[in-house]
Amino acid sequence: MKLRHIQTLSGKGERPEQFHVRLAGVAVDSENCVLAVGDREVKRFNPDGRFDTSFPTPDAGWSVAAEGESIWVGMQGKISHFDRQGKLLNTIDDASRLGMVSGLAVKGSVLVAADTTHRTIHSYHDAIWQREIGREANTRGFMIPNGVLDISLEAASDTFLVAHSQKHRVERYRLTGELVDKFGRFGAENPADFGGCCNPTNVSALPAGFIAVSEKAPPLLKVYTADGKFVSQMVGVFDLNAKNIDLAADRRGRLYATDPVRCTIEVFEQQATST
Amino acid sequence: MSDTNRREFLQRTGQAACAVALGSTAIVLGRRACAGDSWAIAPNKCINIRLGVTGADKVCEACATSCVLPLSAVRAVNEHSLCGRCCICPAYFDVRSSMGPDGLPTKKVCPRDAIKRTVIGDVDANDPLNNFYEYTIDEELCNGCGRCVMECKDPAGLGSIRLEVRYDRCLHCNQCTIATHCPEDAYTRVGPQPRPAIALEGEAG
Repeated sequence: MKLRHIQTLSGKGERPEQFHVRLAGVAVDSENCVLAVGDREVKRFNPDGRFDTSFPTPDAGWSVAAEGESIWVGMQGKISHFDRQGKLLNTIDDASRLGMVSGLAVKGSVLVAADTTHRTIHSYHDAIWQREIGREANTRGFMIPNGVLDISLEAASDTFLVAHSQKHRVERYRLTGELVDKFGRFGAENPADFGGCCNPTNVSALPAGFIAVSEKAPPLLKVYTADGKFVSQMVGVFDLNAKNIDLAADRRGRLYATDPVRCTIEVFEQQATST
Repeated sequence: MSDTNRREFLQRTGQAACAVALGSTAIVLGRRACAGDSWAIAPNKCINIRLGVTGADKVCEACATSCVLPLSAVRAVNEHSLCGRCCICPAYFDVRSSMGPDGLPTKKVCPRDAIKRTVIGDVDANDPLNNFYEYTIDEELCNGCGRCVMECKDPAGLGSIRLEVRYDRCLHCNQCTIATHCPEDAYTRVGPQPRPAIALEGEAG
């Protein structure tokens, strides 16, 4: 299986579908609509890529997640819950505990939030804080010199993935907090390895058990099997200075990747290969 | 030669002599006034520092090779508050080199081995990657070649390492040879020695 670039959404500018300054994160809802958070709003695109609508966020959003009829946006010190029309339903305001929320994974009443400021992951149940995740495995916290801690839900197995950039690996945790397994190592010669100081920077679970990750310097995407076997990579689509390329996948197998420099969302399709 | 012509000749010669004398005096005074001037590197011009230029093949070594001092007055400095303290620092290791048995790259970036890598705290025996490292630059070894600066900058690194003119080492030449050789006009005269942009650790104020 390999990726094929098929479309570019949004961009930097003044038009309704564009972002003025910043694009931070992307997610896909249950109807394959693309949600992009940046500036101080969430923009929604139809499954075919046409701009649909946007709604404001209380603060600058750093991450977005969708589940059922709900949309969640992570900000500095808080996480806001919206309905599909963008109406604010409630906010987890936990500034004493939460820093910059750069990744979200939501399943039912469980919400997991990646906290870049404190290099940890918080678990909430019905909006009530439960625990920090990863402390036993990472006694010095998650190591993220790239400046962003990213996670992705694997809904079918009640697990989520973490891009642990300095350790050059992807880690899998149960929603209840236990480390299940991990894969990846530093290396510059084998494309299966992660290069540079801190890669992969972002991660997303794909349908059919694949995992996509993004790297920086140079910016690229890689696809692995669920147990960490390298499948393919895609280079040359992003601005060379792009880093922390956020990822999300829809139910059709399309992968959406942000280019924070150009404020675009690059759309990829999975293609089966004969090998 | 008539009296009129002689007078005119003497008058013009005198005017020319005065002009030459005044000009020379102005040049000498100007040079004296600028003799103590300091020089600084404009980060938005220096090819080693400015964003958007990456790759070891693009490193400019003019600061290291052009200074009149045996070891250039330009040195690399690491601002520790910005440093990611990475296990595998792209300014320390050549991250494109092959991996050794310890899981680390086998080559270093600095040709003079001027960067020292020390672990912060105890090494986690169960997970050696579970450590932060401090990178300090030995300024007696650094010659300001800029290789580490090129590798540290965003997006590969965090840009904590930069090149600076060490005013305590600079001879404040009026005609700086680094400025003459700088291909990007990044080495610029800044007049009397400016205050440091950031107070060094341990300094009051």
